[in-house]
Amino acid sequence: MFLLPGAERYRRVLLTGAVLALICLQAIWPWPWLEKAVQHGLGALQQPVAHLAGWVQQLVVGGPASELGPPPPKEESALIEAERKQGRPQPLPGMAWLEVPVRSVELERGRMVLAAGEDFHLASGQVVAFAQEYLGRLGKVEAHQSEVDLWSSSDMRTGLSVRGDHGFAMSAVCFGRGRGGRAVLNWVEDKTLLRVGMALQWRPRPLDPPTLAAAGLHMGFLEREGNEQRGDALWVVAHELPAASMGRVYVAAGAVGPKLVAEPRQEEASAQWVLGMDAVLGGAWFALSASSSFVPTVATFRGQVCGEVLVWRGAWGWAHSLSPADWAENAVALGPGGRVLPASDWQSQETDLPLFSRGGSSVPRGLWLGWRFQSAVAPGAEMKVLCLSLEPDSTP
Amino acid sequence: MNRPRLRIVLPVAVLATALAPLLRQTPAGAWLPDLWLVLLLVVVPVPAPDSWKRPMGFVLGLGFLRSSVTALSPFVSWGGLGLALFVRETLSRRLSEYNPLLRWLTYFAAAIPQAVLDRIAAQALGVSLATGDAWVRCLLTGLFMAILQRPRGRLRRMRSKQG
Repeated sequence: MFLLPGAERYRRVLLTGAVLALICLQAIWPWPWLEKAVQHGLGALQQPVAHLAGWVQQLVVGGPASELGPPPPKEESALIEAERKQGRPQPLPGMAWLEVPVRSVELERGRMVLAAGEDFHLASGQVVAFAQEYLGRLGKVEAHQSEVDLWSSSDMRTGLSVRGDHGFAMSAVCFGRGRGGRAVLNWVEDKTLLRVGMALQWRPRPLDPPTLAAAGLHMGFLEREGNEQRGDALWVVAHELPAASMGRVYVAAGAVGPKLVAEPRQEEASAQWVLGMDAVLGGAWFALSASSSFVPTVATFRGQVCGEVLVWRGAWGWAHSLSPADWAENAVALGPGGRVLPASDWQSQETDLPLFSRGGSSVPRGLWLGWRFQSAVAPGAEMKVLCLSLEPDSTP
Repeated sequence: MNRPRLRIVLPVAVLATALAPLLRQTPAGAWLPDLWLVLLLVVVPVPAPDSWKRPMGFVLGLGFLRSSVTALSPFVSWGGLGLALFVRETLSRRLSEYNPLLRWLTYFAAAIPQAVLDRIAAQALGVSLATGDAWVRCLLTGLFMAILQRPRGRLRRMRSKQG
């Protein structure tokens, strides 16, 4: 047997080792551009293999569920209806409340991203509210999206009125601490009059429309934080972002365009079952194909979410099948009386509640996930894939 | 020992790929050795040839088939299979293949990088693979390959050639 000289052999070993090391680095810390190019490039070649495996699965254990069965649930739009019912603030003379859906909430950065911008005639500085709760002001406004600077975000200064008994009120200013803690009252007309539990109302700026002062937007309640004896006690604002406000908010406007409601465009395409299980990750995964021009994020079967699409390879991809309760932080529940409950609330209750997608990261809000104790929905032969588009719906 | 030809390896690999998702769903499916890894370790001889072209071709081909039936990235499959060959090559040059325990240890160690990469990639997708299952999978891969790659047949052939 002919053997290469040692140096040549080591050169080849080193070269192969370097290539392998690069592949492993890409596997552990994927470079998105390369990952996407390879996934899409190989996707077309891999699809027939996945179809073959799906065909074998159909032969051995049977195929996916067909369209036949009980009628689809009607809860699909219940969350959106509840949000609208709860969220619309009181009408103001000479002003309108524009309904704008929320694309994502980034509490770490103290901001909300709305799915409308200059296309919906929004402008920086407009007041944003949900029901009678003051949320903040519009900051950066782009063509198809805008950002709300939440009043509780770090270093945000907001004027407010401290309301006591018998109509007593005094001016104060608070500044937000973001994730660092609750907003602190750092200036108040008379600190000696402050009491725990006093209601705090938003106070408009001098250049705000005067009618906004009559809106009576609420900010929270006064609370004491820290140790009095050590001298580090602070007056803070007890406040929680309403769970329903993560779906849609209302923007005060003196002049409006032709529409008062902005709806984000939801891309939709029909999808077909390819393979019902993953050879490495197990049975909670399924492959599906769709001739869509967008990258889908969710798959639904008969109106109910059957999986979150996590890998997309051009014309097909992989979805992770989750039970409604497994959506955890990404689900909201509709509680008694149409109250929208965030994950922390519905998980602490024992009752079976209807769950909906919370939205964000291109997953549309308000998709029907199912009842809390229901098991994961099996994918069907014919499904739908959805994605939240960046551009809003242009249809009238 | 003659290594299987490509015209045999290819259909076997495609068949294994078509059956792999079903096998993983059987009651003990989570413990079964990775079919593509086993195939690779069978078709690439020990010690590896001087040219790594053919082994790397097998790594790329089998990795491609593996990633066709899993949500994990092709890089994870290529990395896992490539490292398995690398680890086996390194250990087989130092450990005796005539000792079953050392042979098992070699193949057990070769299966570990793939299990680790699968686990990391699964975590990136928000899924956790059971650690216990991964260990058993590596142990069984080692056991299966240690039995399959016994050097007895090779010795007998060498002796008959000499005789």
